Amino acid sequence: MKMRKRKFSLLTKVLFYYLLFTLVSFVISAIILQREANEHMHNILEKRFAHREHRIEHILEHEKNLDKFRHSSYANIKRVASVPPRFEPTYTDTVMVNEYTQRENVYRKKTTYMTVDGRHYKVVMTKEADELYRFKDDVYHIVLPVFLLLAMALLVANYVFSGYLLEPFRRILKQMASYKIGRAASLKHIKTSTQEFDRLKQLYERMQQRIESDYFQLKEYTENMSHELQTPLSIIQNKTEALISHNNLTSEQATQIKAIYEETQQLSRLGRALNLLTQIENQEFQNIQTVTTAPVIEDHLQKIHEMVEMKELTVEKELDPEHALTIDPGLLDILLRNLFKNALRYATRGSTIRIETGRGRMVFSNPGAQPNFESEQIFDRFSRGRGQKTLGLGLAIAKKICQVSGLDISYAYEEGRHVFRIEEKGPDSDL
Amino acid sequence: MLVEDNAELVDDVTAFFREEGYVMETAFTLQEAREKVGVYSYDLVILDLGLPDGDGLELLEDMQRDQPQVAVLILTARDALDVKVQGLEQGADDYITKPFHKAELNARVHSILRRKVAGGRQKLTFNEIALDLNEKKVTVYDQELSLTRKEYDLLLFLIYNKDRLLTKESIAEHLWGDHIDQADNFDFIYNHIKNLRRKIGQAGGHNYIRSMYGMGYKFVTE
Repeated sequence: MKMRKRKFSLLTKVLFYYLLFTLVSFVISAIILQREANEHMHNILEKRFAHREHRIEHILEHEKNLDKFRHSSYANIKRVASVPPRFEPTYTDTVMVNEYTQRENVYRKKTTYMTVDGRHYKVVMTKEADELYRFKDDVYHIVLPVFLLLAMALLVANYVFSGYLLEPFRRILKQMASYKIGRAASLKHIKTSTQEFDRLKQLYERMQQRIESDYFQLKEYTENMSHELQTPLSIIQNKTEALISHNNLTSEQATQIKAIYEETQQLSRLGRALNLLTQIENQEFQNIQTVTTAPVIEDHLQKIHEMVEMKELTVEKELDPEHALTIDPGLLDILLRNLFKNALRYATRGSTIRIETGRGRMVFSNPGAQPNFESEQIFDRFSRGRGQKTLGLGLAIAKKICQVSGLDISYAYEEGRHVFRIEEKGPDSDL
Repeated sequence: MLVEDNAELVDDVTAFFREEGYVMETAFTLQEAREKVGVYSYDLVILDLGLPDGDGLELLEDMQRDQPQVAVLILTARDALDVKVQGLEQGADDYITKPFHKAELNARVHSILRRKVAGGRQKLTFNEIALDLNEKKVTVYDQELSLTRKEYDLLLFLIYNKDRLLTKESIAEHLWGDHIDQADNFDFIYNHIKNLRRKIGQAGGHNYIRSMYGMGYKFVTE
């Protein structure tokens, strides 16, 4: 079993990727902003520390008295023996309580060494950095809500605009879904200012034209072929008949002529069957009426009783006198003929053909060998039973008739019987 | 007159009907047919519908207006029901679709001419066999045979086409029409032939029906 992937609308997808992209760019810009803020803050503080260092240096040069700095928040200076080699100033941020406001603030502490007149000092300076920290936090405080707001706005826009923007697209799709071959429809009435949809419209129209023209050419070809074949076939048939009429044929000659004759007949039947299929496809049978099936079936049974007897078959019928179909009577005739033909051909000698009508369905069944193909293939053109010399078009014709007449034909092999069911289609089973 | 554009078919059919003792004229185009119909008077026009210069139905229309007494048999490669119906509605007497058996065409021509031209010649006799075409009854030496409808039709078909080979296919098509392609084989025709022979024989009639190479039957007159 293959998992079916969920499908999303184009706009939702676009929105999703857009939001993802926006989120990433927001995060990146937040990071950059924060760095900038850090550096800026550092620079400001560094300037102030430098100023202080300058003053401390000045004082140390002149006063040499470190008491002045004792207990001062200004700087803490200690005389040391030496400066650690390759020392770089260190910075630490700590939270301390402000002496005057009694509020917790963030302070930056700078530790460095100084050398004044050959004496070494370790200097620790602290400076309030609260304001600067607040600025840094503000970056996040601004970026996040803006992103959320944008996302919300996009969601709403998606909801509102998807209807409006995709309307022409939906209409084009609808038109495509309802397309029937031989009935090209223009998309002119679908107005769109969207480039892609306009292109789609044009392409679809062009494709439709191409399909139509191919279809009509093929149709014309089939029609002409089957039609034009008939006259030469008439001649061949007549000539062979004339040949056979000679009394002085050897039996070998007779057999050969007979073979030519039979093949000609087969060809002619093929031409007619193909022609019939095309005609049904073209809906040339439009004399649609309500036909009660029972008398028609009885009539058919009457006409084929010799063939039934030949195969020692019995016909079991259960005909509902009320059962009727809405169909062209000519087509019903052809349909029944083909179903009977099939039943006669494939029924085992001496078995029973069953016909049932009623409750909106018509069922033909006959016993026979298990088919050697998928049950749906039975309606394909040129699919025929094992070793049968037939056209293999009968059931294709039957199916086509059902299609144009709003009927459903199905085949099943049940309990050793070939069963064909013909039912009226429900009103909503068109798709 | 035969109106048909295929020369080979025209030759075939013309030769066939001349042999049968008819006077045959031919026309290859609608135009030619129109001219001939305007000048001569025919008993029957065999009319192909697909002519190079137009639809045979046009001629049918004209003839129905000007010469409704002329019988028309439509010959068509179009198998469509509506063409047949249209032709018959427009006054054609019968139709036959290509490819046809000449025997079938012959039988149809016979029956149209009998109905329309001979003013309903009621009897058809061949030696000791007599057919009453109205009553559809057969007598042999004045003794009535009890034939089924199929046997009667078969006998009439054979006599219309006497001395010609009737293939099983053509007999089957004549008797069963479109239903014939439902048959696997035409062996059941043999039963009808056998019964017919037996019934004629019982009344003292001669056995005229010969089987030919297993392909069909011939009503032999000599």
